[in-house]
Amino acid sequence: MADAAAPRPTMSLSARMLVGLGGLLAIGGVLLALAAYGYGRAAARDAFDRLLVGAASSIATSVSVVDGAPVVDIPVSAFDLLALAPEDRVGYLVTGPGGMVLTGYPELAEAITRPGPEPALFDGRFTGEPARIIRYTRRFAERSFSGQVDVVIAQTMRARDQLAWNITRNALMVLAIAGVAVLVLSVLVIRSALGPLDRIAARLEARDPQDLTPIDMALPREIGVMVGALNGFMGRLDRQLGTMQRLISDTAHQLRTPVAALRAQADLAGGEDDPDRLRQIVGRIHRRSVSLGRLLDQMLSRAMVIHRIDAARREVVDLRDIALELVESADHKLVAPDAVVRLEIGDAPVLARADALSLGEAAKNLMFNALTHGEAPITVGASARDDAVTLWVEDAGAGPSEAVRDQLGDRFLRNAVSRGTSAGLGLSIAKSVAEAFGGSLEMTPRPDGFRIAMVFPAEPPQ
Amino acid sequence: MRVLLVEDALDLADATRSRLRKSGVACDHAMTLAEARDFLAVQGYDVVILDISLPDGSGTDLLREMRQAGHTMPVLMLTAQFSVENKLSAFSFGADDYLVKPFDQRELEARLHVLHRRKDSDRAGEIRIGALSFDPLAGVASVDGARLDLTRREFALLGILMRHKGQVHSKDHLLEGLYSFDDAVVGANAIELYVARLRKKIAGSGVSIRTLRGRGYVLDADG
Repeated sequence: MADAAAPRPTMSLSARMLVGLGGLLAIGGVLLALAAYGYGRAAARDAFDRLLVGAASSIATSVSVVDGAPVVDIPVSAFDLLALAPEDRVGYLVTGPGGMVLTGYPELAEAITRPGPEPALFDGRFTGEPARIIRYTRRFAERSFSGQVDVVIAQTMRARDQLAWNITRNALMVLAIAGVAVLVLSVLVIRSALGPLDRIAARLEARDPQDLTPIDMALPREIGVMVGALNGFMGRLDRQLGTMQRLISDTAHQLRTPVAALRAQADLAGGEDDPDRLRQIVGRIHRRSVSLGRLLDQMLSRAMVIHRIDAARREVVDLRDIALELVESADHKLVAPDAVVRLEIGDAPVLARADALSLGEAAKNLMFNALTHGEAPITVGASARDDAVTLWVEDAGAGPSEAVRDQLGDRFLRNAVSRGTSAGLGLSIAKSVAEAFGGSLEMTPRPDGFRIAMVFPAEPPQ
Repeated sequence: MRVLLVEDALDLADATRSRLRKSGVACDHAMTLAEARDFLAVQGYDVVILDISLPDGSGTDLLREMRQAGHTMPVLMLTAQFSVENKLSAFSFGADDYLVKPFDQRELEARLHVLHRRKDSDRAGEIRIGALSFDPLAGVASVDGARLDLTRREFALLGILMRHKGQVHSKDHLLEGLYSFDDAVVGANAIELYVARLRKKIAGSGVSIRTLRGRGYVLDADG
């Protein structure tokens, strides 16, 4: 693990949030820009329309009746108003009753007939450009002249467009500045919100590699979930590491004794000349080595079981299957070639939630104990009672001694190891398996023997 | 019988060799894969005993080479693997049998003799249904040539069902078939479990065992 694989980087959280915020701002910006443009146009139109109305009314006011006919005397001030838009072209037309042109551009005549309230403002064209047109009507009811005089003024729209654009641009500038400010601030906010992650990383970096204790620091709830999972993971690692260390220390302890005994016997044999004594020593060496192999099996079996208890998935297991597998495995022929192992099962499934392999190992250890220390016949069975199910091994003997029973669960069981027997280790395997799956180990003297059972809560049939 | 023992633990090999010699089995010993290849090139053997971990490679490599070269002699594998799952995979390497270290010398001898007899037996009594074949004399059932790891009772039950393909067997009738093993040991209730185990093991062979409720079991080819 020295060279930890670099995690595949996906987009950083800050980047995600920035992209999201940026997107929101962009969409909002476009909408606001459209709104600003609309507002700018309306404002520009209102402003220039007022000028047009002013100019038209001042022209209309200047119409006087001389000798029964309307006379137009265009005032300069009217054009002064319109000159506020220097780039625009302006045209005018004054007509008398019946559309008679008094002065101005005749091509504006069609505006006279355009319906609408007074004064009428509408969009049209003038000298080939879009233009804003006003029609202003003045009615005369005098003795010498009665009728209406229409004043039409057209003005192209360059200045209006210019103004509308200016208003929009100014609004957009303000928006852009505000947007950038929001983004910069959000970077700061995100940084501070993600701060705890950096602190956790720093904490983990600074740790001793053996230190698998949970991370204990005040954290926001969202990160707490992740750290909780991490703590759980480290807890499992810690237990596995502990198991391994215990296994190594147990192995060292439990294997050294028999190996020392073997070596001593072999030394003895080397210096022995008497063939009978020699045969006796060799016999002892053989027994010791057989039991050493058995011990090794049990220790590995226990290591595997402890590992699986933590790691294996729990499934619904028919205990009858485990019992049958046990009777079928020919392994016991090595320990006791002549022993008959019987199976006692019913016709209904006996279900428990556990790991089949661990159960098998535990049951095997119980059976080996019965074969080596108990008396034939030996029966293996699975049965249900009330709300519990049991997987049991029964023999005709008196059961394990009080001493062994008292030591149950003691990891070392020094005495058993020194004697070269290992009933206690087998029992402790069965006990840890039973307890790992929510059950217990039960020892019951029976009229014709002794029964050791792993009792589990019953699993309802599917 | 002539046996080749491929094993790198010298003391274990010496002990095994002397023991075999005492019971009249000629035994050559190779320490490495290379030595074993030399032996195999010049001498025919009745059985090869093959350790898995050797100084210059894995015994399974040699086994594969032998099979590719057309050597059909039975191979007994020695494994030091503990886990149950690994034990079962010894057959998938193409071995004919396996023993887990440490093993009993008598056991080794007995297995060697079984393998030797199996080699000599003819395949006359073999039954084939689909990809599943059953050889009662050799005591081997296999799917597509891959040997199935069956216990003796499973083997006997499979034999009854295959010999009477298409016939319905009641639980009691099947149990009678196990008389040679003293049926009191397992009882009629175990039959259902045995059938479930057999089903799992012969899965994919094109042969299936159906349950007829209240009547018993029948084996038939699929389709």
